[in-house]
Amino acid sequence: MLRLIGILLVWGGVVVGSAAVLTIYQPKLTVSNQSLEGHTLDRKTTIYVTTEESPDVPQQVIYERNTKVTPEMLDQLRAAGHERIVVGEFAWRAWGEWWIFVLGTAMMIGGAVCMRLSARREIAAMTSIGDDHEASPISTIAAIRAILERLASELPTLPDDEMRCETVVTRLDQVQQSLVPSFANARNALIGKYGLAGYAGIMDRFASLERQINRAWSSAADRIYFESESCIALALEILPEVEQRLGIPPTSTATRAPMTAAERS
Amino acid sequence: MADSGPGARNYREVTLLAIGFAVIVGIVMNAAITYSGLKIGFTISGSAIAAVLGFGFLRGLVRKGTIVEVNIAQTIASAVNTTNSGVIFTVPVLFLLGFAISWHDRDFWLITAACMAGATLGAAFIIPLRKQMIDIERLRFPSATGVATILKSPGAGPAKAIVLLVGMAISALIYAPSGLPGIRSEIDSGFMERSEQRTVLELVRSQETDADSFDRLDTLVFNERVSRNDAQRTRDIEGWIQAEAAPEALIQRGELLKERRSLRDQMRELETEIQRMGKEDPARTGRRGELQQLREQILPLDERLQSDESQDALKTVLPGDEPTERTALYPDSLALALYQISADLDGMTWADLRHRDYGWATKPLWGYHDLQWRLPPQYDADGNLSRVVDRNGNGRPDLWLTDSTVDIGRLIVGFPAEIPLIFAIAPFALGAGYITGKAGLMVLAGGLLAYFVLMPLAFNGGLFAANVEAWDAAERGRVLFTRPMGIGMLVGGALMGLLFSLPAIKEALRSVAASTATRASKDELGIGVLLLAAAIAVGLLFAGADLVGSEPLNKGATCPVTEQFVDTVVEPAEYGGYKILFASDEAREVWLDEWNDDQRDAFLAANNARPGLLSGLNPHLRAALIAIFGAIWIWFTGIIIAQCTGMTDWSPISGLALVTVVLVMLLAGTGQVLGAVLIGAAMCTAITLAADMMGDLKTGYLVGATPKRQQMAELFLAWLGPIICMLTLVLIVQANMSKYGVALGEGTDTPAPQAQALQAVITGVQGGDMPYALYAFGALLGGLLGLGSFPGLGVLVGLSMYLPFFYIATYGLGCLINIAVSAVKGKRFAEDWGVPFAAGILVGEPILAMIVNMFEVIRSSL
Repeated sequence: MLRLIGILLVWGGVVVGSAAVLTIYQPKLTVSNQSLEGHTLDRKTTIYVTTEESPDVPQQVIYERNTKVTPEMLDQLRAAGHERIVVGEFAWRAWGEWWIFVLGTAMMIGGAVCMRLSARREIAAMTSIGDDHEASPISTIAAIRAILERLASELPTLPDDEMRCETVVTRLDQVQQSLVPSFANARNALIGKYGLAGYAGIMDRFASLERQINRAWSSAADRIYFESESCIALALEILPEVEQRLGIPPTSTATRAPMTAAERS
Repeated sequence: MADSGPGARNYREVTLLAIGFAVIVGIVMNAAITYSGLKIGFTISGSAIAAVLGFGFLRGLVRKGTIVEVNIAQTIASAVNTTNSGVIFTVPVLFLLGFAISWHDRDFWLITAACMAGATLGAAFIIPLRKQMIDIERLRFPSATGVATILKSPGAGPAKAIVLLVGMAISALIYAPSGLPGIRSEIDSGFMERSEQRTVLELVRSQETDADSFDRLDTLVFNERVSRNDAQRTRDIEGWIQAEAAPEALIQRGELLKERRSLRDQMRELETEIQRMGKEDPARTGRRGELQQLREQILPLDERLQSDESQDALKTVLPGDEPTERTALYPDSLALALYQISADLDGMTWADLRHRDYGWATKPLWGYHDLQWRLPPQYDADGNLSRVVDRNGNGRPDLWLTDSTVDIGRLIVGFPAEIPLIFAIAPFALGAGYITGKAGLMVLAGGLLAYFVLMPLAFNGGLFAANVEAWDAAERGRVLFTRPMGIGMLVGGALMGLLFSLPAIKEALRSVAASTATRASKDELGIGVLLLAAAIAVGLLFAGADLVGSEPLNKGATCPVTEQFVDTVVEPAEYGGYKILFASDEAREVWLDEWNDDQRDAFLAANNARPGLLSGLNPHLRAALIAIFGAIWIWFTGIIIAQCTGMTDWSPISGLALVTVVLVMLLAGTGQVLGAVLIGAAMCTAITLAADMMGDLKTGYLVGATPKRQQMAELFLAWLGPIICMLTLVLIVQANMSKYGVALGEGTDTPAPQAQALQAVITGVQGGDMPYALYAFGALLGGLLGLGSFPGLGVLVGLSMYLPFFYIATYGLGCLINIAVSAVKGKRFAEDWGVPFAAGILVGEPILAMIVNMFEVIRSSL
């Protein structure tokens, strides 16, 4: 509810504030002549006025653009029924809608406060979810670790590179399509728990991890198994750095080093 | 041992084959898109095209390319290509303002060097922000995500590859009737069976009584495929060809143009010769005298060409118009050709006039327009078609489906005319919107705010001139109000976003600067390399600003005292931050000793040269400050553009280019147009490359490429793009000069609409006509929008106020389709299957557009 109020206030404030800004070069003619002193007309204006010499037949008067605004011009425009005048300079003394702009900014500030308060409550709610919840970032990282470790142990047992590459593509698809987005979507929860700088540090390492996973997938898709194997090993090296920043204690399982060419042959 | 495929020991990434292929593709795309950009006003991103071409060549033909190798190829090709946006949005304005720049001029190489500096700065400044934007903020970069989907298609399985291809095919099919009409062929003279032109209203009426009274040219006018102007001119030309005679006034104008061109050519040769001579060369004085004589011969020619009599020769009264309404109809190229034929010059014959260069009508290929889907007729009390359905008053209901747009609003009876419910036929916008997803709704919301709320309010509140029609309010309002406010919002919103992102940026920069022994950190280009690149680029900017800034205000013009042509041998004087040249030492003394400040100010005002904020400083210090300001501004605008592209795929380059030129003119003085455009071009080049680089790095991230390799490839090769683009631009200018006598703009094939917009802004700044307050209040609103929980909101809303609504509508439709698909089929389906399809949709249009443009380039050059 607070978020909805915040959104309505922010967008309402933008509408109100923007509408007021549209008039800054078009002050109303109800203002005093002094407040328009020194300005120039920014739009060619044609009016019909009666004069002492011609009281019955209105005479055409054309004011060209960039003409200096004079009290006589203003009186004629008012007499001709014009409501506004278009000037080339910001008529701050004559800007009658300034209070509407202030109202708009007040609404935007109020809306921003509501949205921030609402965001804080959401973050608090998210961080109260246990770390072993299926959707929690820590569970997601554990799931990624499990897949990578299983790959590292199973791949050498497969008969050929073709099958190994196929296995890598299939298993890492799952990481790319569901686990990575799940971790990324936990942004608010992570910021709430670790702060913005802490979140940045976590994502910095997570991004390196994800990059190695992506490279492993690409090289497997290209059927370059040795590269894929190397990337999986590197991902397993980076994983503890992510876990450390999340506050996960080090695992007892040692990371298996990739097989050398001699071992494979 | 093989270096790809099973059993390979090298994972191919940066190879000579990929680099060579990419450079060639980049150069070709750059030249073609430079031409089309000058023609139609917008450019095409090259990443998707380069990815598809690279895929086809490296994987398909050569059968060696890996996913990361194709990624490097598209990175380099798009880097070489993309800088053309920066150049063609700025540099052509110099030609429109009358500067004569050729490839052997110093100014050409200064501007090119500034653009090369900009390209380097753009890459150098944005690289350190890769971590913040991609790794930490995880900006979406829809196009880049689409490109990654293309690159990964071999491994994604045949089904997804097919979905991608189907998306591309559908996109091309949807776009074809929109883009193909860009190809126009000259109509056959057999299209005309009658000699007189009729109005559409007359054709409507004749259709009622005489079904066979149309000839084919009539039909084209009736269907609004050829304008009345073009049709009238074509009939006139055909009449002259048959009679082997033409109006004498037009032939005389052609003679004047021929003579003027000959004198201009002689002047150019003499100027070049004089520049090569040393100041002490005894022959120099004689040559200068000859130059002066040529100038004096040209002046009366110009006066005669500007005279009412000569201008009237270009006009005629169109059928249906009042006899006093003379409309411009005949281009100068036609007048020139008529003179050449009548004087038996250059082997031209009357039949040669049947050519588009002389205004002969052209017919476009079939498009949506030809479906002739018009609004249902509505009539007023007098029995005439109502203005509601016939806005141009030609007697036929208007089309609701054109080659480029679908006007849904006009199909709804009673829908307010001031609200533009129009969709662009732009598959790329649809695809980009889909890939952006829910986040793009803020762009749609901003567009609805601007065009559905604010502009109708402004129209109904009487803020437009009395002659502005309701249906024109949106576009007029965009120029008058929402565009400057939107640009201000972009800047203010970006500043607020930057402030809130400081902790993340700090962490990202700390990570980049850290030198550990892990392989991960070796994947990033070191900060030292970037600082070196930035320092070299700032140095180049300073050199350019200094050299250009020291150019005299009245070089090639007249002396303020004697009004004779100036001599660069006489020592110039400084005033108001400008160097002033004189015709003689005596004239200089008069300026210094006898003239007062009012007289000097009047001279500056007559040359649109008001002093800038830095005018009182030493010229070298001024240039240094402008270079530093330029570098900081490039950094800031690069962030804006990268964020916009990352969040939505749209990049407001031209808007920021306008702001840059305005700012430099305010700093250096409104007479320093060359300097302002130089910095503007550098900035534009920088930010286009920054956005492209960030997109390519996102693609690389998604396929597991090594960022350092992409960064090095782009940093070391991006400089090539500005050179290609500038040379292409000058080639086009030279071709236009020999064909039309005009460098660019109206009357040529290359109207350079973006440059025309910039010209209007420069004229506005010189005349003090800029709505600075709209920019400032827009910035305030943008900043306030960023205070909420989403700091980027100001940027998104600013962007939507800046763009035309019909693009936002199509883009927003894509976002809504993503939301609907996610709701019905689930998020996994929307991502797994929807994104490849949307990537195909996004890519298909630019590929076809590229083919169409290249076809036109080749045709035009034949």
